[in-house]
Amino acid sequence: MSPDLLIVGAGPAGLSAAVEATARGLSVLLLDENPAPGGRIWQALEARGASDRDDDHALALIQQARSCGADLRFRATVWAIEPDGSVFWSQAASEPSASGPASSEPASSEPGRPAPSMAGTAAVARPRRILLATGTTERPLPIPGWTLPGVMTVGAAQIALKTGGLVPDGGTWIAGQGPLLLLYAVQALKAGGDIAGIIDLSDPAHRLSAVAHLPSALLAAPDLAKGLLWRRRIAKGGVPWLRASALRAEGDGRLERIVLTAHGHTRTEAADTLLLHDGVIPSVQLSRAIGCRHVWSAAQRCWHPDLDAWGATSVAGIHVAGDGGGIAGAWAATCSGRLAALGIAHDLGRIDAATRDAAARPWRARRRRHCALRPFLDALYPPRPLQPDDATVICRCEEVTARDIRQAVAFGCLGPNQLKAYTRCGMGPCQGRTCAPIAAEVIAAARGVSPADVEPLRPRFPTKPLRLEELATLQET
Amino acid sequence: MLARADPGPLRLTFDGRPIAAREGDSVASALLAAGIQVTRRTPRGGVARGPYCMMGACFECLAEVDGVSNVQTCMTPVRDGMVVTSQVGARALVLSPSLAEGGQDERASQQGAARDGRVEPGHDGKARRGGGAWRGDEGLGGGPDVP
Repeated sequence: MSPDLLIVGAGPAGLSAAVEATARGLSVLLLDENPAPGGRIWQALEARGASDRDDDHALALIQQARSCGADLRFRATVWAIEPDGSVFWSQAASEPSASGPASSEPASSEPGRPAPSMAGTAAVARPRRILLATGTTERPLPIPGWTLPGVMTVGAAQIALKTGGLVPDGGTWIAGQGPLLLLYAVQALKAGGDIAGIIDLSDPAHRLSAVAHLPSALLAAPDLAKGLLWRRRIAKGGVPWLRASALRAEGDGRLERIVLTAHGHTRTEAADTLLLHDGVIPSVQLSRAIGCRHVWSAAQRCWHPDLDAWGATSVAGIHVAGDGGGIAGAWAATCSGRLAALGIAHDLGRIDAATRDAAARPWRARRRRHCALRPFLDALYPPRPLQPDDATVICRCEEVTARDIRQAVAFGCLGPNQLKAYTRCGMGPCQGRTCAPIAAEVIAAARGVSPADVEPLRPRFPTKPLRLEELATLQET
Repeated sequence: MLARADPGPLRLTFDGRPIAAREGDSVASALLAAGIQVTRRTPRGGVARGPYCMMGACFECLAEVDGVSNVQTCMTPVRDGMVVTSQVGARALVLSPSLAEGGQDERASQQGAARDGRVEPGHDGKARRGGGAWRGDEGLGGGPDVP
């Protein structure tokens, strides 16, 4: 299997890149972990159907990508990319197997053998170029008690809404800050949900500094208007809106109540579900593991790959498009996907520089427009300072607390990579996806340096747990 | 809780209990819709965990699905007749429908052991539950190191 271009991720950036690349004559293999295209923002959109004009455009793009000639593989997880450009990935069987389980029997047709539906098949591809369009993960908000069952992210609840129609039924609180929090609340209300309340953890002081970015944000007036409309709908929905400076989740074995602090007063509320959100950060697991150079974004308080105008990273043959290259939103991601595909088509000699540049111009203009609101949002919702209480678990997999991390720093630990040896922080099955940014912040504060000066976690391949049985199916092609 | 009016026509079981699901659900979604927030207990502290990110990043929603342990339930589409069991510690729980009666007791005692701190370190530094029965031929890691 040696396509011209292998794309990881079938969200806005990956789909756009597939459409553009095939139109320029490239053979494309597109891999995505999910059962259907769309990424997070358009998750299960084909099944749900469009509900507004943005959805119409998204569905059109998904249809284009499905019919553009690209080889689309779903439930396909990349777990290694080698220096020679070989991409190793596993695909789960997506259809129920004929020898699958009867309704009341355990699945295995042979004792001791995993059910066919669960066993993945490993494969290797040797593309000429690789485009990482892996999107974002939510920035962790490690309040005390955030590991209790019942505490989830806002993004998680939104996925449950999009894929399964799940809505809050009264005992659900939403806490944190950022546009996604507002959007989810509006979507949940529209779907008949009942939200106990929204706890705004943003710092009012930042509203003033955000105003400075308002004039340029007016270029994205429709987006700005959308945000104001969301606030109005939430108010009209009768959802209590509370400001708080601190929040704690409590319960015995699962979430039972939340305790919030505002103006020095604490208040306890019953809760069975708490949804946390503090913005999103680029998902850089693959670009980091490959060894691409990354740069620190002070405004978004996160690392992102260092990219040229066409999305090329510092490693030859590896490109990045979409929010994985820096948070700009879905529509900007469709533009950077196009630009990356054009750049790659030129690299591979399919189009000359003049054709590339002419084709890129409208996408660059569009992307500028979609990015116009970003500085305003970044100033309005700067991430909350990540200085968790000593007892708070930071590495959820290995159950490493903030105290453990601070102690390691006292013993001479300089960053998340050394922290693994001290504490196993980042060495569980999630491989640091959730804890690495928090650990780096805790270490930075304990060392008295900026997080930009702390060498971030370098994930190692395989970047997702891999079953030996799966590995054994690997066929050299 | 997260809930919905129409539970859906598909049927799976979680620890022997029937759960309704809809086509297009992930296993984790179906569990949440049924009010189930806990899918496992952690290998180290034996504490309860459940779905957190729903997008395949956090590995909190691991459970045993159709006999395979350490499955990310948020990334696994439901199928009619699926058998899902909660997972205790680093390896698969022995509880399966064929052992449902005795299994319940065993599970309770294992969870009790984890809570009471009656756990012993394995060769990799991870705590292992003592006294449990293990399915040693699948899942992450090596074979059982507890007799």
